Amino acid sequence: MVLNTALLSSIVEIGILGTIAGMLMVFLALILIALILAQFKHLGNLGKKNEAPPVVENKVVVEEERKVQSNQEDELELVAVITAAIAASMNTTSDKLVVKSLRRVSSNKSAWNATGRHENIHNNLY
Amino acid sequence: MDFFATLGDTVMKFISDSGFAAFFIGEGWKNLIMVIVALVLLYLAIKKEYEPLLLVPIAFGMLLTNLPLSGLMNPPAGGEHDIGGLFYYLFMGDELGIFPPLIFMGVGALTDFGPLIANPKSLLLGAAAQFGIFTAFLGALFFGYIGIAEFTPEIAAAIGIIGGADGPTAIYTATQLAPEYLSQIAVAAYSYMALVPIIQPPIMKALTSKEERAIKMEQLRPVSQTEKILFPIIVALLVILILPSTAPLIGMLMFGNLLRVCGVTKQLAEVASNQLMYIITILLGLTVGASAEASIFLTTDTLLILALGLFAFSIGTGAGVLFGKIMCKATGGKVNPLIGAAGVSAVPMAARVVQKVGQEENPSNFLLMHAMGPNVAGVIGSAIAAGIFLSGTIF
Repeated sequence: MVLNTALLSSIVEIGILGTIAGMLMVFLALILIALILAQFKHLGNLGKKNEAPPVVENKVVVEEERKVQSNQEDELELVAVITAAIAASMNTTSDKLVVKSLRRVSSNKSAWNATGRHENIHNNLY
Repeated sequence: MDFFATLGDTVMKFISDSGFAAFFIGEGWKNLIMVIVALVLLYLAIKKEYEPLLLVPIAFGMLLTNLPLSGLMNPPAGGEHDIGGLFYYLFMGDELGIFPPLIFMGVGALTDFGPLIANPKSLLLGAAAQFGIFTAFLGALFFGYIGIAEFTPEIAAAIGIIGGADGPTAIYTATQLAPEYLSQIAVAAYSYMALVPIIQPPIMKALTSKEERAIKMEQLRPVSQTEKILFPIIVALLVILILPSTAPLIGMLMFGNLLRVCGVTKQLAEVASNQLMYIITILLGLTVGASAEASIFLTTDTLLILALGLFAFSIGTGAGVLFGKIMCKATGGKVNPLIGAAGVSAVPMAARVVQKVGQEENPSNFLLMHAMGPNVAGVIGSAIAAGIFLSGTIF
């Protein structure tokens, strides 16, 4: 194979110079970003000083809101479940029932009673 | 009798017009081989789970386009009411450089740059691993020079980008610089990305000592939201001003990341990183696969591209680890050189490999977050390298 020197020199020029220039550019660009990121530490501290208190407050408020919301949702779900259960036991559908109120009875019974009731229900189920 | 003769002719004509017959006419056998290649890729994607989200569409696109006479990739014939094949139009998304930047937006919305912000030095490792790109570029030029392949500098550059271990970047560069080699470059890039856990560990172990692999790194500092918000804005500004040709990739990557971190665009980040990304992945995969026409794919060039891609990956991994060793010395043993291997992009696979190799040496070692820094830096690094090629200044 005859090597074309003119072609060779152009390949060397494009290849080697391109590689060196390319890698230099990659390094320069990333070093520049790294230098700026290194300054972020101080910025982060500033940000924290200014921002930290409201962020915490927000969190608490949000959590409280969430709790309230999820409680309401839980309650609604419970009402739906109870209604469906009653409807099923009466062989009808829940849209034919009107739920006027459901009161949660705080259980002041002993654990023995509760367990007995659970067992009773369980035995009737299966 | 006449009736039967006519019927026989009709049946024969029907058979000879079918795709089956076309497999055995002229160059049709090449299509048959491509169908087999597509089936093998499907097997690897489904059974071996090699990047299935991409390889399944790519392989199926390859299968469909190589069924003779399907005409899926045919351009419109030229008449006023003629329309081209389905994939011809979908392929416009690749050809016009639309799909890869949109995928990058999704990648940005999925990426946490926190570890990189906490440890800016890891950007250097992300830069070092780009050596693979340029060595493969040199290799391809050399092959072109000795005459075993017709690789122009542009094609060599597109092949080199395989070493960036970044699918969308490789596809974007290939569509701009070497559209005819798109399918080979995409298949090579995604295949090697899937093989990262096999390719990297031997190189990592060969270049580091037991003690070095067992080095524990101190915990990264927590990063505030302000920093996370400023990061994409500053990087986009800086990089695009330095290298305007990176605007589509870096711009969309950083935009996607801003959607994620700014805290007020949750829905947009969700869509960018999930639904939209999957839609684009389907279109991109199918059309990239469909560009694998037998006449282009079944050449020695494909084997050279696969070889160069593997070479680029290996050099990138090695360069990253060696630079990690330099950083280890410079910091008095605070940096584990293994994290340099994550500088090839392949997020988060490369970082997981670092974690695994580090833990083999020292079970209580957790390098994953430290490796994520160079890993995401690698994405930025390979996009910059692509930008250098795309700007055409070095040709």
